[in-house]
Amino acid sequence: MSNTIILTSSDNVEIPVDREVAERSILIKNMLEDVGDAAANEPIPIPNVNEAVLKKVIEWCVHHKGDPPAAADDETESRKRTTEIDEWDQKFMQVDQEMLFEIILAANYLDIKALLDVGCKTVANMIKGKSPEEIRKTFNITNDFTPEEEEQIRRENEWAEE
Amino acid sequence: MLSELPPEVLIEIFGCLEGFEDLFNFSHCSRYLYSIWMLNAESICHAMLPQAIMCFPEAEQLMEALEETESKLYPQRPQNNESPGEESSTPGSVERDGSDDNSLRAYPPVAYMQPFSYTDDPEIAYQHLSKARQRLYYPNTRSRNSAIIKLLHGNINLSPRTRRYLANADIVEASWDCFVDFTLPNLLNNPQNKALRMHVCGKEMTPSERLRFTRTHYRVWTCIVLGGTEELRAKRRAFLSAIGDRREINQMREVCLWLRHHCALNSKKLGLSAAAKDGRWQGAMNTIEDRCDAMGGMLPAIHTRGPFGFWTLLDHWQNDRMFDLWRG
Repeated sequence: MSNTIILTSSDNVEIPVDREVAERSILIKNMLEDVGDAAANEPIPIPNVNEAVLKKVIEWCVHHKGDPPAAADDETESRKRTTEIDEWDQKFMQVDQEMLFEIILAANYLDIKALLDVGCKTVANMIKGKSPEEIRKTFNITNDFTPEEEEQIRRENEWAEE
Repeated sequence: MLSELPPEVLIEIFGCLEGFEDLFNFSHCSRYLYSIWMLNAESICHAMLPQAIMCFPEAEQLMEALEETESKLYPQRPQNNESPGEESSTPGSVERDGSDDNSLRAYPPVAYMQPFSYTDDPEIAYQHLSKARQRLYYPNTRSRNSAIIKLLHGNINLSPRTRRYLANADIVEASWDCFVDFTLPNLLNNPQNKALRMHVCGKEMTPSERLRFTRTHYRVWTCIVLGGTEELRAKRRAFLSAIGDRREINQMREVCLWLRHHCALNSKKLGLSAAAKDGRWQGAMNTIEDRCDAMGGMLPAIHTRGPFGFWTLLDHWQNDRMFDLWRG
């Protein structure tokens, strides 16, 4: 069984990766199991992720190579979630928004739950304490509510305001 | 762009938010985000609540304990989301879905004794239950009826007159709440508190007693934690919003009643001024009462999929008719 596999990004760049690292991705892990060791020597196309993002994802996977495997997606796991992010992950996520969302999308596509979680928590922390207007400004979201709808929704949720 | 992320990722982001204020603010940014929230409220709440509510796991454990005990007590009853035992313990409240009297008949009537005695000593509280005049509610009737009865300690040894009264009312079981103030100093850090769940006055508690006791503990504990300082107001509201169905709303109504009586009795009769002056209780009571109507309207809505259910319920809430839905 080869210890290194080749991933091909959407822009056709081949990136060699340690198999153990690549298997942080459930998608790749399942794929390797399905195709068998012989076919695993062939480059594996990752058509939804470009080189820059794939390298970033691999960087995360390398750092978290020794982490225990993610628990099954069950009640216990979800209950233990917190919004705290590991210091290394915080630094890792200090990227521009475009890259942040690309990483999140890649994590979602490659089925790397822990990375997806870190990405989503990072976004959640950017939302924390902001008004809808501030969130729109932060993420460049267009307000497509009519003023009447906006007022109605605001009234619905008044009780949750401080 | 964030608004171009697929729904499954946005649901994850919603679930990572720390509280309802952030959640609502985020959902208000665009129609797309609002629709994601509305259509996936249940799973989002499920992911978010453990972060938003500090006592969520414990509250859940207690809820599970209640339900487990209840299912042992009432194994013959239909297993659905609206546990009849819980329903029947709420003064004057009973599930009213249309005029389905057959479904009501499936629930044996249960008397609910609401005692008006408060103390920091659980044993005394328990003994008081045998002496205090209780207000009896039997909820499986269209109108709220009440009568003053005397409840005897032990195996619910009711007086012959009360027995006749209960028999005439077709009540097959009596149960009660024991109101013990766990915030009072004598009970804080009392290692016997755990044992109290199982034994009171040296006697092992019946499942029914345990149920009542656990429920009381749950309420008191929740109010202590969430009825705290000003910065916990949002958490208190988040806790209320975690109440997912009418049965649970009824529970919170009970808490509300409990707090009202607690404060009134403490200040007017028992002279337990320390507790009466404790802002946590008053604060919790105000929040619960202020938000009760909102809770009645919003919470079923949160768990109602689709816009039709939501707006219907919201309409009820806005017109102050929400409680009619479950009051009957």
